[in-house]
Amino acid sequence: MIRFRSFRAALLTLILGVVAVAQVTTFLIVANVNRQQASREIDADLINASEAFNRVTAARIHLLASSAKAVAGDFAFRRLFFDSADDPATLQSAFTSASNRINADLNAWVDLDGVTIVSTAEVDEDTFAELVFRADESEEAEADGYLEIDGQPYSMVTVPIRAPTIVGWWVVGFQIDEAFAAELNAQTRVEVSFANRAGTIVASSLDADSRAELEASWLQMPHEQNQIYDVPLADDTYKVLLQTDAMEDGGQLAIILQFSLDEKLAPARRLSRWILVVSLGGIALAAIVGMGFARRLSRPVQQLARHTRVIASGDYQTPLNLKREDELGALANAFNAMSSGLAERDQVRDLLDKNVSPEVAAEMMREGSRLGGEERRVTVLFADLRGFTTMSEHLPPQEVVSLLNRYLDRMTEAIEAEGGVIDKFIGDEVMALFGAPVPSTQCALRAIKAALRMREALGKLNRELAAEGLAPLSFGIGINTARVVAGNIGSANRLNYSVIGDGVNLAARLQSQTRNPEFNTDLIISEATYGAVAPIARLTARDLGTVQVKGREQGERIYAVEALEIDESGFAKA
Amino acid sequence: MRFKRLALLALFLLPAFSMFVTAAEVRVAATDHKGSPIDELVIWLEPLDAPAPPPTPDELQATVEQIDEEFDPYTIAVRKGTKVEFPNRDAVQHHVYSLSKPAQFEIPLHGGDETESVVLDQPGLVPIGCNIHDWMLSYIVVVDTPWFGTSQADGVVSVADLPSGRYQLSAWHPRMRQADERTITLSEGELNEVTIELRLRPDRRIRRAPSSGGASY
Repeated sequence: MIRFRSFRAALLTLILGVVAVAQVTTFLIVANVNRQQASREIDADLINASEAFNRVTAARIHLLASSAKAVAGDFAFRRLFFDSADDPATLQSAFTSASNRINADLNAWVDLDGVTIVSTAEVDEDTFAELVFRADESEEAEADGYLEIDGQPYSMVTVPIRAPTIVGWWVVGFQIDEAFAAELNAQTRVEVSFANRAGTIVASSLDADSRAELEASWLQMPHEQNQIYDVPLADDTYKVLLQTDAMEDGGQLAIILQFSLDEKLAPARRLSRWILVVSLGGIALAAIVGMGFARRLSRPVQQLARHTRVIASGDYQTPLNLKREDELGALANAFNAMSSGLAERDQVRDLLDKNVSPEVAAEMMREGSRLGGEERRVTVLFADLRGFTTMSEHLPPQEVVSLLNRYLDRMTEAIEAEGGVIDKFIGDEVMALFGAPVPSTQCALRAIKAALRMREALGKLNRELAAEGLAPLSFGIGINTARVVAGNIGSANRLNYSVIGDGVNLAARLQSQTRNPEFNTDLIISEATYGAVAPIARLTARDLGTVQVKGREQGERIYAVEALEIDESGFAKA
Repeated sequence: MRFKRLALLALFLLPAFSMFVTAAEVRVAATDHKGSPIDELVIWLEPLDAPAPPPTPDELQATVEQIDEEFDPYTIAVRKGTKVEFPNRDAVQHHVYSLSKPAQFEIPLHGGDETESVVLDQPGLVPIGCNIHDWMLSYIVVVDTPWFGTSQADGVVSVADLPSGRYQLSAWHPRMRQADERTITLSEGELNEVTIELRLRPDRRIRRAPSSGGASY
């Protein structure tokens, strides 16, 4: 297989290939049909020529026979015939005169015993005996045949001399010579040659060279009577029909009829040349049209290829402008739709990153809506601003939102710095997760560290606010560690990654406990969280005792976190 | 002449003789090799034991007519010395001739009701033709015996009143190259039947073509 580097080359090659195959096939079929047709025509011509030879010979023989009979009917000749024995000189001269009345190449008078009395050719006494006896036995009292005299073939016929009964025979004939061959050739356009019994070509319509070549080769040809053979002669293929006729005195007269295949194919060759010209023209036209077509097809493909690189580079805004109605146009539209789809997805991703934590967004991007429905041990952190509602009443709405966003921004920063995930903002309240969606064995420690960072961040924010002449903010944080159900929760069209469970509620309740002035703390953790952190970090926490939490039968032991000394080695394990 | 008169006397006496001397009769039935009877076959019987009796004047008369542009009869046997008359019964003229060895004669163009005659005094075959009607042909067989005849369409020819004894029976037809000859012995008082089968050659008479004179190709 040839591998094409370009689609255009492949397409062009295909078009040219198909056109060329079609043209070559047509050319070959036409050439073959022409050759067969020429061959059939030659066969018909040869058979026609063979029949023409027989017909012309018969007509000539008939004419000679009629002439001889007419002259033989002359009363003077009849009488003379009886006196022949007495006066051979008169007979000879009368014979000459009678022969002159007939335009024959051969004349002879033969008696009833088959003995030649007089003849224009030098022949043996019994040369015509067989012919005469055959005539004598026939109802028509006539016989014809071929005879060779001095190597020259003659066609001859004998007719009776009646006085009034048959008293003798008149043999007349014509020589099968060049003129006869030329006449047959003129009539039939077939080349005619005659060979005597020695195989010598005695007459032919062929030119000297072809004749010599035929003479040298025809005896080696197949001699099947009335069969047509292909014979190469003089740089040409001839179809040859051989007809043989037995001669009176033994041997055969061969009539060799031949027709040049090249000559018969000449008109077909002219046609072939025209077809070749038209074929080449067709291929050239196909090349031009194919090139244009291939370019028309490959250019948008190249444009599409370039555009994919544009898209790959992240540019979803530049549209692909093909302005085509066809499939490629549809492909371009699909491309544009795809790039706008990609742009949209990027925006979604962006929004997702803003609305949910990057980890959740990434997890959602990766896992899709499969997130969910799994039990996890997580640490839930709730942080709530103190007295913000009261404060917001004294500020314009824009400043409220601005202040809240500033606060939430700092908190978020602090939470994410410890690998926490903002689950949601509920007004001025922040819910954050540790250990979901990305599992972590040190979620409790991270949550406490995050809370301490938040405390620090709030202090920094308050200093800024003080500088701006604004009242300081304060918050309360509740942290609990528990097994919860994590997953995408919501309706079919709107999902939120979140966690649910008793442990979540407890974290919210612990946050509420920070409002209790008796505890005097802004950070309360559950016993479960305390238990998880104590072995791996030096946690300074005040035991606040057991409190009764709403919705829980048993009391919950809680701690207020004072400080955390991180065991570096232990932390490094996280 | 004396001899002739004697023969004439014998002829007159023949019925009387027959009362006492029983003569033989021969009936020849001829067929060709296919079994078909041969019409117009000429036969003649030459006595081998005694010379043939001399001819009587009545014997030496024969006629070959030219009628409807044909000769009639087609074949005929006559005794040597017979005077054959050639009456022309047609409205057209004829030119009767023979170039045969026994008799060469020519009766140039002659019209209707003109009767010419020729005496044939040499035995042999005398074919006669008409120089202006190629198809007209008749064969006169001149024999030296009083006993001859020509067959009818049934191929039968009968000759009566022959003395008993051995004879050479000859039969000839235009479609035969030579006469068929055989020796037979005739017995008195009974019918001698001879059946002969002959091989006939093709009939090569020129076809009479009333409208066209050309050959039939």
